[in-house]
Amino acid sequence: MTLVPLHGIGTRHDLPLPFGFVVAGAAAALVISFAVLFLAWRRPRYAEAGGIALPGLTRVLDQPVARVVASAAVFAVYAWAAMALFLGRDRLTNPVFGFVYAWMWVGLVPLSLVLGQFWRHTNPLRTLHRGLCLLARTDPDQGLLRLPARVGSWPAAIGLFAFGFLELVQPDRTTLAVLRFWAVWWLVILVLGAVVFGRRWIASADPFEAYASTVAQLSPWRRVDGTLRLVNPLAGLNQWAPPPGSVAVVAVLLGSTAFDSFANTSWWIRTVQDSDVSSTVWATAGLLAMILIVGVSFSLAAVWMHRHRSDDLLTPGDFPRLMVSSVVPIVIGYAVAHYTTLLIVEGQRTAINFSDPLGLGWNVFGSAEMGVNAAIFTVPTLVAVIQLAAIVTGHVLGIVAAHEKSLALLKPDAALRGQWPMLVVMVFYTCSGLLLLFSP
Amino acid sequence: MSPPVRRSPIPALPVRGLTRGLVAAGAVVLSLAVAGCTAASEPVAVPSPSSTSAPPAASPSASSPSASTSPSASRSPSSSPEASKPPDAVTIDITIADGKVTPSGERVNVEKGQIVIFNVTSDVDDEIHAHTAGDGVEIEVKAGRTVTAELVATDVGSFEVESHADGKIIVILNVR
Repeated sequence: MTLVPLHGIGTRHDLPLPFGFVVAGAAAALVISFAVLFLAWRRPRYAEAGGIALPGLTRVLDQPVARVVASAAVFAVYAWAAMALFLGRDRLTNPVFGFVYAWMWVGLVPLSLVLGQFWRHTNPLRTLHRGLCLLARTDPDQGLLRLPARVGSWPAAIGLFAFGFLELVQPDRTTLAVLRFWAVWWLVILVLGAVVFGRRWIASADPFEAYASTVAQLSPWRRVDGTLRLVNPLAGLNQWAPPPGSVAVVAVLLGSTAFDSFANTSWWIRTVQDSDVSSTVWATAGLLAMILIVGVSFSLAAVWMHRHRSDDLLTPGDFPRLMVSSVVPIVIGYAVAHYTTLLIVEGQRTAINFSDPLGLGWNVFGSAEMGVNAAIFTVPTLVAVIQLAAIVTGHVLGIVAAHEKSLALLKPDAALRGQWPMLVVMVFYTCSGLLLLFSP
Repeated sequence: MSPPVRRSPIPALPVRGLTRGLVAAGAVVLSLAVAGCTAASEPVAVPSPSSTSAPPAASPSASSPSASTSPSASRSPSSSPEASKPPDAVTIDITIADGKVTPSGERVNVEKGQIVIFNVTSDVDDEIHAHTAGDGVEIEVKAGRTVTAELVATDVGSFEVESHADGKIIVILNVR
């Protein structure tokens, strides 16, 4: 009967996107898609990365000292979070929850866009593995077995699905017991796997490295013949040769973000809550369904392009992987639209709680007494504009990337015809993304 | 490795054509965005009508529990607001029975500064958590007795109101 203040736990969401924005965004996506299709260049423009070579910067970054310092810094941050995880208190003020769900998961996106493939060099798993190899005096690249190239990033796709499950389905995911269990298994599978297969396993199986390196394909940094270049992000993206399993990686990323949004609709909440089937079953099925919808629709549109191929050596099964780079901007747009406010607000809260990882009243970094500035929630129109811009920009870049790939892969007189199904699928992703943000 | 590029028989379009096209597209986008913004700035909040199954004694300033034998009737969504309630309050009737909550995940539009009144009837002891800005509020409910509580929607945003016992979301307050 009395109103008692609770501790805030970040269940504050963005307001739904106004329907006018949804319509504007969908219309913009359609108009720009057709504009690109009919007015854009007819010969490939991004066959090479181009851009400006930066040999000086390359020399600096390739110094062993630079790598050691950067890796050590990231490792220290992770070790601090690990301390909070294994020795801290099971309260919502423990920074490890925000560390995992905001800093690690969402923060990797802007960092990878801005810094490029930095995670490959600072991934704490690699640091840990290298340390173990130093102790054992083995070569980090050599394992006990050889990892076939066919494996590609399939293990990472499974790992990303597992993280999606943890983030969206797992009951009690903001308790230490659950998080410890998952963290230990992540460490074991990756470090043991690296011992067995060599360092390549980490690139193949770490979900966070797979996410970071996929997003980094759209960054302005690219290494060409060992030298770092500052390039047009679209040109850089076009250079990417996706490993096997990349379609699965991208489908899981897009599908899990879409499911996160879908699970907030009133229809879903009502259906799951009023049903006798457990919500875990519902959520797992929903997550899988979204991933399959993305994976299947994209693959079908890509396989359809095979009939107009310019190189007879390509099989239909090659096309989804060849086209997967065009979905990367859409994945990034979705992530920005859905998680920006989470990163801003929960990211601050994590930074504040980072000063007191064990819940003992410390103030190591001086941030423990600061308050979260949640002003972003008082400007819902600005948030809506950011969300709209992210989704539409992701769509436009995706369409351009698909166009460029089509010019390279298809016969010249069929280059436009061959793109239609992919264009339709991308418009479908964009309009669905906008509708989900409107979340009826 | 991408296949070698063949010279296209279609002459490459002059850059001007692409620029013109993108400018045209940009103008369309801008006009649509303005249209969208105009639509978005219209007042949206409509006090959601409450079921009249709750006794009329639940006045907006009452914060003490009223012993009531009102049955856990289902909501009638088309009932009109009662004349005795002040115009700037939103009433939400909550029923918790057999492990199910009513309403279940419904979105309620609220204006900033509006008072939100909860009439809660439950067949088990429970707590209703409204995760509004800052600390949020908590309403304790005892089995069988209707509890009335109110809060003022001081902050803009989308807030969940849930039942603590089973974690089910009752309503989502969209405060604009």
